[in-house]
Amino acid sequence: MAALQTITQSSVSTGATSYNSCKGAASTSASAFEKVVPDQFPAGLRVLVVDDDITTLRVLEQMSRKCHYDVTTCSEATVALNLLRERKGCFDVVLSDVHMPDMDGYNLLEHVGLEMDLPVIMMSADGRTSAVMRGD
Amino acid sequence: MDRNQSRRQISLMRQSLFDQGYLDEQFIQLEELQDDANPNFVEEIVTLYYRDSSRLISSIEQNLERNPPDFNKLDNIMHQFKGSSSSIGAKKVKAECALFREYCRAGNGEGCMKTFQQLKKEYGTLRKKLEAYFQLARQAGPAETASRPK
Repeated sequence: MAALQTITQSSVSTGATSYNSCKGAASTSASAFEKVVPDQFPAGLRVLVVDDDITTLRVLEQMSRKCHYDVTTCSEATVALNLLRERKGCFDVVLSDVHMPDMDGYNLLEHVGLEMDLPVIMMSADGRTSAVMRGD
Repeated sequence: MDRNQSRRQISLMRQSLFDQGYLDEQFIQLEELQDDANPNFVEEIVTLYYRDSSRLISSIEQNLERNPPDFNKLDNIMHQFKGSSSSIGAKKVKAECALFREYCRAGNGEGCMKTFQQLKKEYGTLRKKLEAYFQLARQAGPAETASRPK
């Protein structure tokens, strides 16, 4: 039997959004209600995608839209981390590239894991499992 | 040229890009992402790729001029370029990227240079072919860019 998932409904909007969409979340979190959505999940999943390659980022954004995720994109890890800190509770999962110029993906993973306790999915053009398993 | 002829020509052009190894399945992924809300998605991504990757090409060029070249740095830049090229399904370009990285790891400067010349050639050829393809598709009408072989 499929596990039922509960999500806190803050702002469920399809399509990519910029940081502004999270503005309401902080104030409504106290009054946010929990909703069981077995059929819709994971529609509305709030994903933060981090990748320094803007072509890849745009593709990931579109893929997320097609999955009806609420997607926010970021091309810099440091900006992503600040965003996660500023808008705590605004995201359900982080999708991050491994190789980035400003911050290693594993570094981001470490920070996010410690500070926000959010799941982070690592991505790499390097097909070897070892490249992403390092995140353990 | 009538509509049916246009469609057939576009379909053939598209198929040959796959048959001749210029594109791989990732391109089909892009086509599948195209929809009414994003009717020119494939062309947008390809345009974005060529615009953004030019700085990586320049960077590699500059770094190859150094004597001796910093192979580690070159490998890193090429990793980025390969990733970007993968996202549009640029099969031949990707293959040259992989070869270039092998030469980097072997510290073979000449191998790098030769491969880079070949890479630029493939990169340019693909660009021309895709430009022609998109132009034809645009002339025939929006439905054509997502056509699939039977």
